[in-house]
Amino acid sequence: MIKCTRRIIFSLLFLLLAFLLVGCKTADTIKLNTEKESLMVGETYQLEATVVPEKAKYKWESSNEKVATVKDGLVTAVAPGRVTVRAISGKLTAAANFEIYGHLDTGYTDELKLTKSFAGKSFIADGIGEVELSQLVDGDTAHFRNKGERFTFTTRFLYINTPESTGRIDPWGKAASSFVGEILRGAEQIVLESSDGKAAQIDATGKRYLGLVWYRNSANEDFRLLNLEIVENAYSNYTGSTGANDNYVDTFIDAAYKAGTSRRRVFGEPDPSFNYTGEVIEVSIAEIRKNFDQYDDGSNLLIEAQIMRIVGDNLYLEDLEATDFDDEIKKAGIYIFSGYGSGLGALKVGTIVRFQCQAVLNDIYGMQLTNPKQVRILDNEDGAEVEYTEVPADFTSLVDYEGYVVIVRNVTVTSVGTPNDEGAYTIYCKTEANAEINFRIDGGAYPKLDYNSIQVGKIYNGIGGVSKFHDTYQVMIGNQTNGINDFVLVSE
Amino acid sequence: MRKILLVLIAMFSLALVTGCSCQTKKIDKEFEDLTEVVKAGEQDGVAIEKVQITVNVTSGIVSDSLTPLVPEFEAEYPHVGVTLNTISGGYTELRKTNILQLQSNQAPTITLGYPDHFAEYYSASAMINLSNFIKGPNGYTEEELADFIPSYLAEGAGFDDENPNDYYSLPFNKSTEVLVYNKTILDKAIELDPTISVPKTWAEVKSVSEKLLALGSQGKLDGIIQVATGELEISEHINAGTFYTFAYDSSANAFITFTRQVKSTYTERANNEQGYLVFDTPENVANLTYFQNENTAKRFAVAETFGSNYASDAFKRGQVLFTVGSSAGIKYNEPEGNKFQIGISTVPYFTEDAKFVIQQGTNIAMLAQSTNLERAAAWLFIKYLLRPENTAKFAMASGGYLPVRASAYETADYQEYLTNPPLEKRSFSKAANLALQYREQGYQFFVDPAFVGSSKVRDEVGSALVSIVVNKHDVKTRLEAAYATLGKAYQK
Repeated sequence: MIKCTRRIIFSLLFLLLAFLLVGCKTADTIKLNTEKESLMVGETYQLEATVVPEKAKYKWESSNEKVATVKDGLVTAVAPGRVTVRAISGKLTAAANFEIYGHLDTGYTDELKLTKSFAGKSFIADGIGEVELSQLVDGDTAHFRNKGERFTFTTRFLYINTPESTGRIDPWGKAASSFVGEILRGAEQIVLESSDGKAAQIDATGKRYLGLVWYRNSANEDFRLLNLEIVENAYSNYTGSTGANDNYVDTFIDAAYKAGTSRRRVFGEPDPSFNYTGEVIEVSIAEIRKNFDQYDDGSNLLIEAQIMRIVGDNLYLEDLEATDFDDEIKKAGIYIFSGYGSGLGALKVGTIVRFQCQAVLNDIYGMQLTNPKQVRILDNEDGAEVEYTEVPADFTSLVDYEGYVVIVRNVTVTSVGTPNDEGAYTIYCKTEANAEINFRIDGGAYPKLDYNSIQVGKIYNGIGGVSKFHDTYQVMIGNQTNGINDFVLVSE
Repeated sequence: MRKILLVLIAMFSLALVTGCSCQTKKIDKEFEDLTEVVKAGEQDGVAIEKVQITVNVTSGIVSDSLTPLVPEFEAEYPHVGVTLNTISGGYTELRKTNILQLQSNQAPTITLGYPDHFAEYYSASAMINLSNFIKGPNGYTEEELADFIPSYLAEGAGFDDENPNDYYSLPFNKSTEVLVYNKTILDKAIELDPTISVPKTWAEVKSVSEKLLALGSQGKLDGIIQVATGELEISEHINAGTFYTFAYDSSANAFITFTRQVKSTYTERANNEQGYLVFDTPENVANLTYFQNENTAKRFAVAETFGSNYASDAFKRGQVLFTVGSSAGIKYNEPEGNKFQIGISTVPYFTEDAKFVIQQGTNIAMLAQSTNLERAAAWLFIKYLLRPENTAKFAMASGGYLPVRASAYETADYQEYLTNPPLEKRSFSKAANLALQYREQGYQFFVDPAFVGSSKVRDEVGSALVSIVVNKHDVKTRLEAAYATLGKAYQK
C-alpha cells in the first residue's frame, strides 16, 4: 500500500514537474490577429496567437466572461459590452478588444396596435387623422398633408430625436433618414396621432406639430408606430414625454432600454459610413461633384469659392478656377445650406469666401453642402460682378446645370402660384422652345422678388441657382438686395 | 501521506486553472484618489483595464461642441475611455434621465446640470465631493482655482452645511442675458430723432419706447424692412395693438432679475433641502405693477404675449424692437436673409448700484455610483475640459457660452474670436465681448439660490409674471396665489 502510494506520489510529482517545466517555457514574443473589432451576440471569432518560439505555452483569458468567452482562441460573444481577450505567456500579453453588439428586434412595435378611430378626423383639429407624405426632412421630421388636401404642415415625430442629416451630418443621421424615408414612401396609409388624444400641439419652435406616426403597407396589415420602430431599430433614444396624459410612454421607455442594451447604432456603434477622423480636407467644388461618394461621409471639407447668389442665408457658390469637369475645362457650382441664424445672408454676391463644411446627398434637393463653419471673407467684401451660366434657348432639361447660377432668357410666365405662409411661391414659365421651367422664390429669401410684380403672359429673363426638387430641377431666385433684380421684364 | 497527496493534487489543479477574472460592476463607498493610477495605467505594478466613464450631456450644441474634445483627451489619457450619452429634450430631460438612471443603479460617471438638479442628487447622497480631487495630487493649486470666474465657481459650493466651501460641481457652460435690438430700425429712428439711443436703464426703455411708438404710429418706421405676405408693417401692428417695443424671452428670468434690480428679495435658502419664499414684498409688488402698466402702454411684453415660448419670432417679424435673451441663444434672433441687422447691448437696470444680470448655464459634476478608478478617470476628464484652452475651445465651438476661467480669455485663439470672429460667429462674439463689458462696467452677475424644489419656485414666478403682464391679474393677489400653489413647505 505504501509502495503504491509512493508510486502515485512520485508519478504526480513527475507530472507536476513536467507540467511546470513545460509551462514555464514562455514566449519571447506573442501576437494576435486583431482584424475584427466587433461581434454580434452569438457570433464566434477564432483568434490566432503567434508565439516565438513556436512551442512556447500561453493561456487565453477574457476580461469579462459575461460579455464574451474564449476557449482555445475561439471567442464567443455572449452579451453586449466591451471585452478584452488576451493570450498570456508569462509576463507577455497580446490583447484583442471587441465591441459586442446585441441583436435588434421590433417586438414592441409588432405588439402595439392603433386602437383609435381616425375616419373623418383631422390630426391638427382632432388629434388624429389620415395624412399623406409630402416630403421627408430627416429621420424625425416630415411634411404631411391631410388626405386629399393641398395644405402641408410639418410634423416633428414625438418621443424621438434622430441624428442630424440636413443642417449637419451626424453619425447614423443619413441611415436614420433613409430608414424612415423608405418606410414612409412605401406606406399605403399614414395616420398621425397627438400625444394625448387632443388637438395637435406645436413644438417649441412654434412651427412644427408634434405627432406619433402610424403606417401600414396594405389594408390587411395592422398599423405600426414608426416612432417606436425607430427606437427599436436604435436610430434614436426615447427623448421624453410632453404631457401627463401621454400614451405609450412606458412602452417607449421599455423599448429604449432594450435597444440601449444592444449598444447598436446611436447607443454606441460606430457608423461605418461616417468619417470620424475630423481631418480637414481641402477640396474644390468640381472634385466634390465628381467624386461625391468619397465626401458625403461627414468629412470636414475646406473650400474656397465665389458667392454667385444668396437665398435667405444659403449660398450658391462656384469654384474660383476652371478645372477638368464634366468633360470640359470649367468651374463647378454647388448650393450650400447654412441653416438658420448663420448670418451669411448679409454677404454679397461676388464675395470670395473660405469655409469648412460637409457634403450631403439629399433625396429631394440633390447634391448640397451644409454646416458652414469658420467662414472667412478672402476678397470682394463689398461684392463684385459675376458671370452667369447661359442656358441655351433649346434646352430640354436643367439637369446639367445643377448647382450653377444660370440666366434663362425669354421665358413666358404661364402662371404664378399663391404664396404660402412664409411667402414662398413658384413662377411657372415656358421657354421659346416650349420647354417648361419653374422659378422658385424661397420662403427664407429676403428681400423676395415681389409677387405682385409678376405678370402672366409676359416675357422675362430669369436668373437663379439651379437645384433639384424631387424628380425635376428648378431655378431658385435669390435675395433681391443690393440692386439685384433677377426676374426682368424684357417684352410686353 | 494522504495530506501530501491532497496538497499535490490541489497544486496540480491550481496550476491547470488559468485566471478567470469575471468583472462585476461595483461602487466604492470609501473615497480614494486614484488619479495617479489612471494616469500611469497600472496599480501596484499591474496594468489596469482601460477605465470607461460615461458622461450625460444634452444633445445639440453642447454635445456637438464637447464631442471633438473626447478623442483629444483619450489620446492624452490612453487608459481612459469616454462615452458621451447625449440626451434630447434639454436639461429637464437630462435631469429626468439622471434620476431614472440613479434609481436603477445605472448612473453616469459625470453629468451636466443646473445647481437645483445637483441639490436633488446631493440630497440623495449621489454626488462626489470634488474638493477631494481638488486638494489631491492632480487637483488645482490656489492660483488655478482663483483663475475660475468667482461667481461661476461659487455655484458649486454650499451643498454640505458642515463643509460649505467644498465643491460638488465646477462651472462648465455659462451664459448670461443680453439685450438684442433691431439695429436697422433703430438706426433709421435715430436718423429721424437723434435723441433716441439704445436704452441702458428701464427709464430709458420707457422714454425711447415712447419716441419709437410715436414714429411707428406715424408710419415713419414702415418699409425699412420688407414684410412677408401676411405680415404687418410696424404702423399696422401698432394700430392692431400687436406691437411692443420691448420683450423678455424668459418670464422667470425677468421676475428674478427684477427682484434683484429693485433691491428686494426672491427666495431665502436655509440649506440644500430647504428654501423659503420671500418675494411677496411691497417693492416687488410696486415693480411688477410698473411692468404691468408698461405692457398696457405697449412698452413691455413677455414671450407669452405672442403665444410663444420665446420672443425671438416676434422680434424677427419686426413686431418687437428690443428683446432680452440668453447669450447662448442669440442666433435665434438672427433673421433669415438680409432682413435687418441686429445689435447687442446690456440688459436694462433701474439704478447704478443694482446693475444685476442673471448668470445662467450648467455645471459639471460627478455622480457617486462609480468606482474610485472611474472617479479618478472622471476627474481627469473634468480637469481636461476646464483647462483654459479647452474651456475657450468649447466656448468658441458652442458660440453663445462663455469660458469659465479668466486666463481662457487671454488665449490667442479666444482673443482672435473676440476681435476677428468667423462670419457665422459674429453675433456670439459680440455677446462674449458684452459679457466682458458687464464686468468692466460694474454689472453684478447673480444666480438664484438652488435648493431642492427651487426650480418649482422658478417655474411658478415665471407663470406669475405671465399672469400679471398678459392676463392683467392683480399683482398682490397673484403673488399670494403663487405662495399658495407652492405650499407651506416653502414658507417660514
